[in-house]
Amino acid sequence: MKKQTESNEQPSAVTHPDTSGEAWIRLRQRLIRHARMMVFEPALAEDLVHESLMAILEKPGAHRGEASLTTWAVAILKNKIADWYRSPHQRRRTWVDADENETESDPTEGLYDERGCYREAVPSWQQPEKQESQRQMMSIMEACLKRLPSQTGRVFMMREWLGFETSEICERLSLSAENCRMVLHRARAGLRQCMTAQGHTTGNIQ
Amino acid sequence: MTLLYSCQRAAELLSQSIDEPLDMVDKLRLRIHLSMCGNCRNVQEQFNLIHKMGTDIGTMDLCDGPENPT
Repeated sequence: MKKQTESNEQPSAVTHPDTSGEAWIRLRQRLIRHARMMVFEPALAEDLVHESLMAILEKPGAHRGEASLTTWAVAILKNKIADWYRSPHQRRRTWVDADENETESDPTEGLYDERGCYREAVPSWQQPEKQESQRQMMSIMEACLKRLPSQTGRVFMMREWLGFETSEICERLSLSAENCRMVLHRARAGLRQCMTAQGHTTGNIQ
Repeated sequence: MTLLYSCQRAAELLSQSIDEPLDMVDKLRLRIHLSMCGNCRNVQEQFNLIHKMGTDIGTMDLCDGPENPT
C-alpha cells in the first residue's frame, strides 16, 4: 500500500489517512460534534473520538470498500458510543445529569389547538432525490437536531442513529415506556417543524 | 368524537409505529384518520423521511461550515 501524503485530489479514495491535513482536522471536529450530541460530558466526547481516531490509525487500510473515510469513522464512533451506553455503570447518568428545567421545554408546544388539531396546515415536503438536495436536507436536519432540548435530541439519536430499541433506551435511561414514546414524538415533531421552517428559508423544501 | 383520533394523537401513534408495532385498534383508527386527513399524511411522510435519514446522520460529506451553524 502506498502512503499518501497529499490527499486533496480524491478524498473519498484515500487509503491512508493524512493525519496532518485539513481533512483530518475536519473529520475530528465532525466526530466531536456528533459525540457531544450523544454524551453529556465534553471530555468524554473527546475521549470517544480520540479512541475512534486511534482505531483508524491502527488499521489505515481497513476502510477500503466503505464509501468514504467519514462513513467509516462515524461507524467506529457509533460503536464506541453504543458500547459506552451499554456499559453497566453508565446507566441513568446521562438522563439524571440533565438540566432539570428541560422538562419544561416541549418542541410541540403551540403546534396543536385545544382539540389536538394543527393550528397551521402541514405543508408537504419535496422528496430529496438528487444527492445535492439530500445533502442539503441532512445539514438542515443536523442543525435542527441541535435546537432540540438536549435530552430529547439524545433519545432521538439513541433510537435513530445508534439504532437502539425503545425498550433498551427506556431501560438504559430508566424511563417509562410512555415517557420514551412521548420524548420520541416530541423529537420528531420538533424536527419536522424546524426542518419545514428551515426548508422554506433555503428553498429546499416545497 | 372518540371514534376518531385527533391529529395530535395521530402524530403520537405515527411516531410510535416507527418504533414498535401498534395494536389492532390503534392501527385501524390511525388508518381511518389518515384516509381523511391530509395534514397527517404529510406528517407521516415527514416522520418516515426523518427516520430514514436518522441512521445516516454524520456520514454524508457535508461541506462543513463553522462549528455552530445556528
